[in-house]
Amino acid sequence: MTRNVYWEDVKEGDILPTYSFEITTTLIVDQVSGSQDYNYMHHDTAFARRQGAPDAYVNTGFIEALLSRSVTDFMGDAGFLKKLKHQMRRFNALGDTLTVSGKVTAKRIEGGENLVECDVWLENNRDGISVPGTAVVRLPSRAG
Amino acid sequence: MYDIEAVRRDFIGRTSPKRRAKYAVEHEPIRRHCIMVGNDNPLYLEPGYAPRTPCPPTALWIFSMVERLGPKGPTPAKSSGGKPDEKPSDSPFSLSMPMIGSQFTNMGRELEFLLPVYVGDHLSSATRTADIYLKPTRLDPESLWIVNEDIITNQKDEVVCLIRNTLMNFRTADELRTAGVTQK
Repeated sequence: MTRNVYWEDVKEGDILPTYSFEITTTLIVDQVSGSQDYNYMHHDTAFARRQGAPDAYVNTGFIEALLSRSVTDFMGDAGFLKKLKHQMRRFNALGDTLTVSGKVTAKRIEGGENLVECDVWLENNRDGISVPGTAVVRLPSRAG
Repeated sequence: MYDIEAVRRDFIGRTSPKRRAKYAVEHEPIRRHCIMVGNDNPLYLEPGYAPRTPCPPTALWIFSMVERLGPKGPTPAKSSGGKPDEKPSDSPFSLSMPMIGSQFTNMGRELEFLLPVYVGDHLSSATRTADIYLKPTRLDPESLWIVNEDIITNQKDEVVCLIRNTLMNFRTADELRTAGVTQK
């Protein structure tokens, strides 16, 4: 069973799916397994603290996957993520609680494509917004 | 004294050869990528849900990181014991250049997806250094910023994704003390 979201049905200001996670040791293990990123700062507390981080912190692949999950859940089966951009401004470390959120900021038609622009971001309980980002999605049209 | 102008002159524009990943896009790494962030989307997890299983967009780089999926396969790091100067065993940063400190962290990334990628596709990548500059951060007043661009192609040599990654090289507190740098 497929789930399609059509461009005409999306409005500026629509909220993207929101998810929260506590960064536990189990999640750190899942992060290494899911990203194949074995760099020490992402699983080794002592190494991360020597870098100046509060603890082992989640990596780029994890952050992108979390931002992307909110967008791909929003866009349905026939949507296509065209662009995803983010900046990592604060560490998201073991013990933090992360929330991914997003909202639709604009709609446009360009080159025959029905596009939706979104703000997406991660917040943590220590620093507020730690990772701001943007996404552009192509959606199908009811006009075909 | 770090000669940023010489490094910029020597390394900006340098491009790696295109390298083919060892493995094709597979279901199992996609499953682990999804589990990592609680993503239960059947489009990615259920073979047969769609005519072809697409790769989640942010999982593409796993299948194109030839540095990690090279002849030895994925390479877990040895235990560091918290030593700050011990580098990961298989660096993802292919275009080596003189650095200021022993530490790295990613600062951001821009992904542009041009075509869908499916289970069974086989990806290749090439990396170009786009920019190098010094910019102070709260970790190091002489942080070194390196911008690399990756071009990801499929088995038909079609560009499927462009990645612009910003990496920061910096010194530990001990390295700053040794260099006589006072942190604010």
